Amino acid sequence: MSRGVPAVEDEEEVAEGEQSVSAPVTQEEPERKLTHEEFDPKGTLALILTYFAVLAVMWVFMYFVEFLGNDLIVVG
Amino acid sequence: MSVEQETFVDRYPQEAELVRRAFLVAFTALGLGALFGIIQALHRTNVLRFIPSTDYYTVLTAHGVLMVIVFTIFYLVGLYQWAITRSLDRSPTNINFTRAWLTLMTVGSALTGITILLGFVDQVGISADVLFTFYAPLQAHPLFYTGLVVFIIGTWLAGVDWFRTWLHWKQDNPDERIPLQTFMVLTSMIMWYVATIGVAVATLFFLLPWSLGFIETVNPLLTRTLFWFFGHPVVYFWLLPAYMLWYTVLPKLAGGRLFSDPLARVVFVLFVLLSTPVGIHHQYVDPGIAEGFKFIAMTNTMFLLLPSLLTAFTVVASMEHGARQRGGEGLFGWLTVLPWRDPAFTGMALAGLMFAAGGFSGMINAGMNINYLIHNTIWVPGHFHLTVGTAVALTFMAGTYWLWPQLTNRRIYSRPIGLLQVVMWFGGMALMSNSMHVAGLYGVPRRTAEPEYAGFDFNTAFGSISELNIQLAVGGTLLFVSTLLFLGNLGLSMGNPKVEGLGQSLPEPLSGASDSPRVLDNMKLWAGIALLLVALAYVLPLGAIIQNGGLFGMGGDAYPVSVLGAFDGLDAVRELLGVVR
Amino acid sequence: MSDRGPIVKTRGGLLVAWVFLLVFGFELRTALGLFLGVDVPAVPYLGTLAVALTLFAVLADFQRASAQGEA
Repeated sequence: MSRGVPAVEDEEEVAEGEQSVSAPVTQEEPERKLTHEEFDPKGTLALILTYFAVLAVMWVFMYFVEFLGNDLIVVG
Repeated sequence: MSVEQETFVDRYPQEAELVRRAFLVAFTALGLGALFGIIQALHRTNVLRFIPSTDYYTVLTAHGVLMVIVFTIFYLVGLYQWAITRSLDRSPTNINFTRAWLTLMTVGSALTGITILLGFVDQVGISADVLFTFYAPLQAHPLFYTGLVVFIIGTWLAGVDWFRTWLHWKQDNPDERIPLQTFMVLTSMIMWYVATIGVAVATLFFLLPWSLGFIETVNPLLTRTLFWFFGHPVVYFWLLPAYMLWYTVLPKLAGGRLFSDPLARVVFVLFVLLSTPVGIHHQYVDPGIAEGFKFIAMTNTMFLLLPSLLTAFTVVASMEHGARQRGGEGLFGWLTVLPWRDPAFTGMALAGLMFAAGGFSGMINAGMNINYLIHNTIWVPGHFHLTVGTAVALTFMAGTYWLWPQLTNRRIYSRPIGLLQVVMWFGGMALMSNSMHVAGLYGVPRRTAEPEYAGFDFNTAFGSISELNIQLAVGGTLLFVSTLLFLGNLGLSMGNPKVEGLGQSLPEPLSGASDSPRVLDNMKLWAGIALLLVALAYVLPLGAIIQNGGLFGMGGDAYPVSVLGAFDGLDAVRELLGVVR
Repeated sequence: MSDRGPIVKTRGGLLVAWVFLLVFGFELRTALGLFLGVDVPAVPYLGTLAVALTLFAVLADFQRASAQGEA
């Protein structure tokens, strides 16, 4: 049984307004639509930079432990 | 705004039944595996010991095999059958073939599973206390290896089924780009075919004949290396279905769209290429493998970080899109408007967060010299309980809350219990895994029933070992309760009435398939490069191992883990085959 | 503050926030112990954190309920 790929426009219309089936019925629906041009993932950048900052600090820490032969505790 | 949509089970009842069957096996394994997990957690911390320590390896083997072979891979085949049927909008070429491979997988896992569990029964001389890695000279009963072979053949046939479905679809749609979910299924299976070469050779040519008595000895370094040839890519076989859920379903749950289809394809292609030529990073401490080969494995492993970092970006950006569409503002404030009451969303989001931490400890494991700090300590289980134990397992449970209604036309019994369950998993795992990481740094070993020693104390930087033990036990208990809540919730859902209106569709990505270069869809190219990279990483080390130690090793005794019992049928088989022992 | 609405709008969101902050505090204690050698004993401090967060959660829930009562 095959029908080919369903029409893209219908799916998109339905999918964007549709609630998740596992969500509570009182969950609020999305307020607006953002196209590719309108959306800039600045929040994502902030989170990723934080992640990289933690990573960089840990790698610097590893330098002190591994190459300079220090103990795991840096201070105290 | 809701349109009456067909659910998957309305449109594809037979396929939905097979998906449910696969999930049933997966969740049975999860439940049994969780029981063994809590036994271990209470035993090794000396909180509650009700099995003899000599049975610990039976429990551990069962926990490992049930969780990471049966639970994860049965979930994968169920999810992938749903995904490929849905995205190609097409049934399998022959549904009986589909039933056949699912049956083969079930029979294989039952064989292996029962063989492991018979290790509890001393009267029957059949056991397989060889742990998930089944390193020689530990030797299991031949049925253990046989079951594994049958299971793997089942998965190979699943791949054949899906490739066939795709090729027929391609004939009917010659100029179309491969739909994203199908692309993910096909690339995962290419990776799997390459990966299973190692374990198939190790089992079929060495371990199985050795356990039957056809060959006297094996070269343990060779069989270990062949295992880890498979052992690293298998973790991506666990991870890629979770990635499929994060890329294609999570954006919808968040109220947005996938940020980039091309990036998702690039990620999966990178996994095809890089998953296998890194296996030696599990063997940094093995003698008999030159350091140069270990170094190559390490650099490949660092490259392998890249697709996960790409995933972090793409998935978080897609969630942010959903949050902003829901009205979220500010640099971090958008996080608060995400649908945290939806257990499917929260489970996947918390799983992703925990995966980031698992990535940190993975980077430590990957560095050849820092690996020495934590090798064979309980840090390693701490790491993989964050990755397969949370990123994969929690995502699978969260995904089930969303998918199950579409497979059954019934609502989940309780959404609040679902939310409690996923949050409890997150909290329990944070406790348990934190304890494992810290204890590992203090030198506490893994795979040990009684990690306490006379006349010796572990040096702690803060807190104490007994505190860490309590933490592990409490965390493990929370995980066990969470598993029971999940299984109970799902079981009780079967009592709900069938209703309409549970259909879900998935939104188109912001940057779609047409934006991705056509070369990404060239499966043959990626398979070819993957095989080339594997050859470059493995031919020389394997050649050196065989040259130094011989194909069958230089002697030594097998360490059969069967307790000699009244009957195991093995001698009868051997007599029949004329093999003298 | 009074025109921004309650800190949490739903109980589910409150649950997730409570667990997240507990875990965060707990991991912070590990980081302090391993990186800086600062021993933060579990019994007074983590217990206090749990009690404090639970108190905040109860208050936030109360704020949520009264905001909904007005609406």
